[in-house]
Amino acid sequence: MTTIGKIIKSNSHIDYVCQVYGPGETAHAPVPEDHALGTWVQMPAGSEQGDAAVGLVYDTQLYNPDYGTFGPRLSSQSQLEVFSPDYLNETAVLLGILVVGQMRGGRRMTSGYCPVVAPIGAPVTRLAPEGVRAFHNGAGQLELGYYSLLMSITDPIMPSLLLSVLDGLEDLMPEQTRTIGALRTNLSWKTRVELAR
Amino acid sequence: MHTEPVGAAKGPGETPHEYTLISADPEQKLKNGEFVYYKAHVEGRERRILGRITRREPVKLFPDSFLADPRISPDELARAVGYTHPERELFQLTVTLLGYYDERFKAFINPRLSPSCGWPIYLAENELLRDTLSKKLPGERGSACIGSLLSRREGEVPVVLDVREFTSTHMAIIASTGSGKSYLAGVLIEELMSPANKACVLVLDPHGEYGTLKELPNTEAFHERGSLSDYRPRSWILRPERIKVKLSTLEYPDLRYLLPTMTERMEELLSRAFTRVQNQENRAWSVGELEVKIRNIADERRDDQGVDYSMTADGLCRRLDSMLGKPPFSASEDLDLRELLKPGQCSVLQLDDIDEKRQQVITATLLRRIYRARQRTARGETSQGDAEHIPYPVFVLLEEAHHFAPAGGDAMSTGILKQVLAEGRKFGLGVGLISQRPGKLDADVLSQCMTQFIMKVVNPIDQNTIASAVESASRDILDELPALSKGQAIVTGSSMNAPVLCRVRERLTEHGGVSMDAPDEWNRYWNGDAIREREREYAVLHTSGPRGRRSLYGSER
Repeated sequence: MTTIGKIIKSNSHIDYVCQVYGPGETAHAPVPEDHALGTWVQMPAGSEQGDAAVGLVYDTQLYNPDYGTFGPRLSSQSQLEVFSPDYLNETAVLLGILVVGQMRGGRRMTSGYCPVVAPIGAPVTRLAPEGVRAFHNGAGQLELGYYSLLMSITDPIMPSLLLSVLDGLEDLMPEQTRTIGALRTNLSWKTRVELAR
Repeated sequence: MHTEPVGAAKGPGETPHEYTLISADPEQKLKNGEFVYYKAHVEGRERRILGRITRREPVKLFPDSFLADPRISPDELARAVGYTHPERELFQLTVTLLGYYDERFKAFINPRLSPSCGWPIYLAENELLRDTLSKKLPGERGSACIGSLLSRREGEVPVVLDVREFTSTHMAIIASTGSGKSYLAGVLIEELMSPANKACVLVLDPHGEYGTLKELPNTEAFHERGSLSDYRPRSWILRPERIKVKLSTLEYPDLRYLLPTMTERMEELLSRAFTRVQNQENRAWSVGELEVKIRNIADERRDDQGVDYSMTADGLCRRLDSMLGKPPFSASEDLDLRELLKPGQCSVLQLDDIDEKRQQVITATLLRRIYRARQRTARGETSQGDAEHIPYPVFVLLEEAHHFAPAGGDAMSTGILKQVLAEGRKFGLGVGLISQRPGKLDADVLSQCMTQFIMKVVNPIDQNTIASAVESASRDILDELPALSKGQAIVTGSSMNAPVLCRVRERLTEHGGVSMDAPDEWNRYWNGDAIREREREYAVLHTSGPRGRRSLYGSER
């Protein structure tokens, strides 16, 4: 499992901000595909080993404190690398993570929210395909308890994100193709056709 | 037994006698026509206020898009998006109030009290419906169990009519063809002839469908074992050739009806001649006697006024001959009412080979005679042994009633039928009308029948006629008419405490009114036996040679 970054703050109980590890911060630095939009992630949440909050990367921001300081500098870039390296590290990639469920010991406990908070600094790792599959499997039935949560967020990217989630799930859960297909058709109609009127 | 509520009251309905309730109804118990109740305190007593469900509207359903793919159930999709509750639909049901059953009045009393929001609503128990909807219990004297409540399992809630009511205040069976009206009539006759009733029934059967009632005496269910009388019903089926109408029972309007488009001269001759035959000593006149009188009057006219009436008389006599000179009319023979009408006997007059006009005459004269006999008997004007002494009530069942009392009112039987319907109750003469075209039936006649059995009717004109003529059935129950299946009937009126949808029970005697199987008949024409029989019939003695049929025409089949 690739560790992507760490939790640095939250905007609400379900909306966390993760800073992606930069070069040198971890042995295996994540590549951009590891934290693409719609990536399933998990982070430790709870007192027991293996308790985790499951989330979805729904937003990405590039953080750059230098942006806006256009004035002349006394030091050049090469001088800064020597005398003030902290300045250079303050650019970062921040991920918006929507927590949509909880897993314990590899099994889904809740779908839709996680009652336990993930601590500051909690490592965020990418959820393996088996984990994604287990998270959506409710006694042999497809479980998307977070569906209404995602639909209720007024972000233009959300329907597309949900569609990409459904596409991903279809590959992972071929036995649920019909159900996923029906949901995707409904969602496409609602978000593409009805909004185009 | 503690009963769980099936829904909760929402509030009053559109009309003062309606209320609405909300229910998920997962087991689909709350069908249209089903009975429910709520509990309320009326005059210090807890009462169960009964009502009938008349409308069912959804208030919560799955979105249409969940139904786009018939291979995926909406439940599955709902579960996928996180909806895991068992309740999937919610309905608003409109209930028409009947009221609580008051044992003192033996009727439903409307408390004029709608349930408050949230009051629990219960499905009426079978026992409650058994005790309150019908006026009688099965097998009780004066009861007729014709089937069971349609919304419950067969036999759970029997529909039992009060025979006393419909044999005095008349009844009507209205149904389109093939929906089982003759079958229901057969069931009713069976019940009338059961040991609980031992009725005196006369059936006027224009299609010869009731011949199977001859099995009545041999049906063990009607045998009253162990009684003093050892009662078994009797049946008497009269074929058309045995039905006689004595000419002297005809009245002058009957003759005018039988001989339409008479000239003024003919009418004058007939009127005078009829008065003379009526006044003669022997009232049992024959057509010949009437004709003699007509010719006498024509001669008198010629002698007195010098006007030749002979041509008119000839014409009139010819018409009289063709109309009255053959059966069922007879100078001396008549149906003996004392033989025809007996308690415990069902007499069936089969009128199937008789034209409609003569059927009307037979019906009118018979009804007139029975009515007069009952009237005179009730007034004490007759005694045992008199031909017109019928000391018990009579019930007459009239098939194809629209032929005998058409909406136009030009049938000769309409008048006496109206009179019987209006006044028969006083003298113990009840009538049951059966019709497949209520729209063609005289509206007054239909509205005089206080018990109605209404089966499937699709024609909108007929539906409107029923709605306007049947006071006791509300519009909502009549809305069920097109949806009724064969053997299902709305029973309403004075013989029941409330209108009900009924599943008619199976007949114990064979049903005679089945449609002909035409393809079967056609195929029978071409089977081997039939072909050989026809060959024998067509064959002549010399099948070969110059005079042989085959030599001329070949083999005929």
